Amino acid sequence: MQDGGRHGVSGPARVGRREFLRTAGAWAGAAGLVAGGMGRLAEAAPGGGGTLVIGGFDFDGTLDPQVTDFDSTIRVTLSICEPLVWEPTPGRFVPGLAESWEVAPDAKTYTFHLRKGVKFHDGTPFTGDAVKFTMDRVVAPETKAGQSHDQLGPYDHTEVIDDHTVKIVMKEGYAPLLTNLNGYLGIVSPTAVKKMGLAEFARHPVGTGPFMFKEWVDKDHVTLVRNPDYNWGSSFFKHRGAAYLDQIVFKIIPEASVRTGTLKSGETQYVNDMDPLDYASMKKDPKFVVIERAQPGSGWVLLLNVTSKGAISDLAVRRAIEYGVDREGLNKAVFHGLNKVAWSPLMRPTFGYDAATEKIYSFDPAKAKQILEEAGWKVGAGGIREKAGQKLVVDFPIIGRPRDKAMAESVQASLRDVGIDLKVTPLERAAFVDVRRQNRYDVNFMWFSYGDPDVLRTIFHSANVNAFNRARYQVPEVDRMLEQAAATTNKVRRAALYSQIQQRVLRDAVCVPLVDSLTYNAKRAEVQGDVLDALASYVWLYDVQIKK
Amino acid sequence: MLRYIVQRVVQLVPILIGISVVTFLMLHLIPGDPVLLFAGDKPLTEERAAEIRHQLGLDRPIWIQYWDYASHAARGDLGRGLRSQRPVLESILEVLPGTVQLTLSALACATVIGVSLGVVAALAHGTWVDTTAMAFAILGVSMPVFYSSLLMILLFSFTLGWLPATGQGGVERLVMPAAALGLISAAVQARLVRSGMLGVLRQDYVTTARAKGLAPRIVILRHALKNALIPTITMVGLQLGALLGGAVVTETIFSRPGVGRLAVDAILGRDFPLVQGTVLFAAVAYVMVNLVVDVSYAAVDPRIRFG
Repeated sequence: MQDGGRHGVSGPARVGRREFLRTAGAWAGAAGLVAGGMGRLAEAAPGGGGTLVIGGFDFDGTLDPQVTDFDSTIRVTLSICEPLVWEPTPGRFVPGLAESWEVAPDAKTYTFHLRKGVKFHDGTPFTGDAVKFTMDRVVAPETKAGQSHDQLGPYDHTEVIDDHTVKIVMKEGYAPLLTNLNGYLGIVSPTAVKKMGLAEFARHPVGTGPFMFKEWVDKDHVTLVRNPDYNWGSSFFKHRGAAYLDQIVFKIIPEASVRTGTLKSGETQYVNDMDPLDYASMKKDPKFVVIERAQPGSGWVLLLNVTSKGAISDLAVRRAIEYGVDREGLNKAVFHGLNKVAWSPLMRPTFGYDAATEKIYSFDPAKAKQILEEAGWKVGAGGIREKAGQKLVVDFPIIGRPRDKAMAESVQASLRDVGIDLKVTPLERAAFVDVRRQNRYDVNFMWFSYGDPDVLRTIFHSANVNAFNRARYQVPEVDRMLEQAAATTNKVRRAALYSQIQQRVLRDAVCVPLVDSLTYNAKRAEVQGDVLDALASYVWLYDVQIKK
Repeated sequence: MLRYIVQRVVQLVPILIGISVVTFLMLHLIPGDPVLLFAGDKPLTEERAAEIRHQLGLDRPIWIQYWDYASHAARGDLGRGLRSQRPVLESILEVLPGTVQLTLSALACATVIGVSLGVVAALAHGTWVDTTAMAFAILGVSMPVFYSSLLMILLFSFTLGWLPATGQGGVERLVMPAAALGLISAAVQARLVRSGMLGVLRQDYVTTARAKGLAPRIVILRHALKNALIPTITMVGLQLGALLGGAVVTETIFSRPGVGRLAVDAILGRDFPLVQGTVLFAAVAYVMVNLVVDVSYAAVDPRIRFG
């Protein structure tokens, strides 16, 4: 249901030296846990148990992390099928099922040293074979993989070196892999998949996580119960041993205002994707905690089609649009001022975000008019500019959803003030896809939450002209920079390349950033110990306690 | 009677074939190549496109595809959902009880409210009671289901805390959605019963019954209402369709499982076998309900002759 991708991903991001040391410390801690063994387990205090009811959006008919396309499904499966590594904040990785790992400098091979003594819920021991099985099933056609297929990137194969060491090999350098592990690439039990078959496994997922699948009533709820044998939690987490909660119920409540209301009435204790309209009243009430967090990736942007036969192919027109759009006004009108005005195709928390982009353009209608004037676009009938008999009309097909419409109309009003006629056409999805594939548009929306700046490749690489590169931007030099940035783990070099790319696409005026997006969750104050991951999308529930 | 029913069932055959053709063509008639639609925004290589084409069976001649689809559907095999890999019929049957329960309760709710409101308004013709009842009816018709649903939730769940706002289960979870969904129907029925009653009350046989000295209660229920209800029965049947449509919204707001939500989610997720399955299922159910209504209508009104 989510248009555009909502990928959960990120690459080796901004890890400063201090943070690197902390991560290294975490690894040492993990090793200590294994060495210390049961001694630390005994310290585990009972957390009071209880049931946590989480209100969220619907799933897409499967609880198989490798098949689903929904982030809301991963919010459930992440407690069942654990990842090799967790990413608590952008670019910081902590052990999951892997205790440590090495990434080749060209980002082509990833070696993982796996935790010992881990068992799947069905009793199968966790070994390198399970990792190989999980990765291989993503690319196997019969799996009909969803997001996981994109996220595994240029995957070649997995080598099982011994029971507890695996090497994932890429066809070409792919720096974002570590981030992508945290979600759609959660490890599944090979025994369970083989025994149950695809359809049955999708109804009864089996992993190594702190919670086990119990039941799924379609369109109503999914229930997980505590895994009593769990004692291999990441060193990142606050406690050891089994989870505190007895049960988690993921209640499906599609309507956002009702979802938020159930928090007040006590039907739920935590809600995902709350209605931003409820934000103010919730924030004032000490009984609730509103969790707002900026996402990494690419925010709401306009992509301007450089291959159009219309006026938009003129650089002057595109630059006038950059100056002419009132982002602050749009943020107020559409998002109640809750989001952050954007100037870069990357959102602020993304590794490689270049703050210098904030000075390239500003909201300056006078400057926009001047640029158009100098390029020969003179004011004509009804205030719309003309040049050599051609009217300054720009085609903007959208999918007819309320938010898209509101944003488009806000941009339309801004551009009208400088003499550009933005024609907004709301279309049914199928018709919209047709228009886009046939290159019959001047402007398109894009939004792509993603943990790694490699999202820029998705949007600006010439190989993606028929996919997410809706500006149909094809500059060999930019392609090269994008490829180089993906094929290195050198953070300084990556950041420098992404900086250049951001500045370049803005100078070429193919992208008009509008706003960065935030996620809104809310909980009752007695719920404690929840952690929102680096993507600001998944909530980790292992440490959660309900304190009365 | 039997002959009439057989005749009506035979008439269903071309209708059902028509429905199956339309649902089958749905995938081919909507703008855009189904493969591109299915792939969405992902970059699509030729081999991946061919793979999806084969997966969806689109690489075969269209009449073979139709024959395959229709013959399987006739045997109750609606294919498998693309994401869930489950038989579509199984998915539908799992959520069907929720929709049936909601629709029937809404219908019951609508009939009880509608008929009593209509009778009261007719008996109190021209007084403030009549005006109030009809004002309520107009309000009911003009208020969108999602709005009345949200108002009810706000009042009874979030403010007063009397009823749970979401989910399926006991009566307490059924009251609000059934009432919200039934409201529109109730309003329509109230107006219909009122005008029916007003007409009947002026008839000679009612005057005669009164003159005989029968108790007013008997006159109203046995003589007047029974005759005034005949058009209402047809109406109830027709409204079942409208209720099924409104159920999508009600199910979504009250977070209830149901066929409507299954269909909407399938459309949003571009799960074509599931979309085709739910549409076919709903169409067939609608046709069947109409058949039952027609037959029962004929059974109630002796003026309708079979044959």
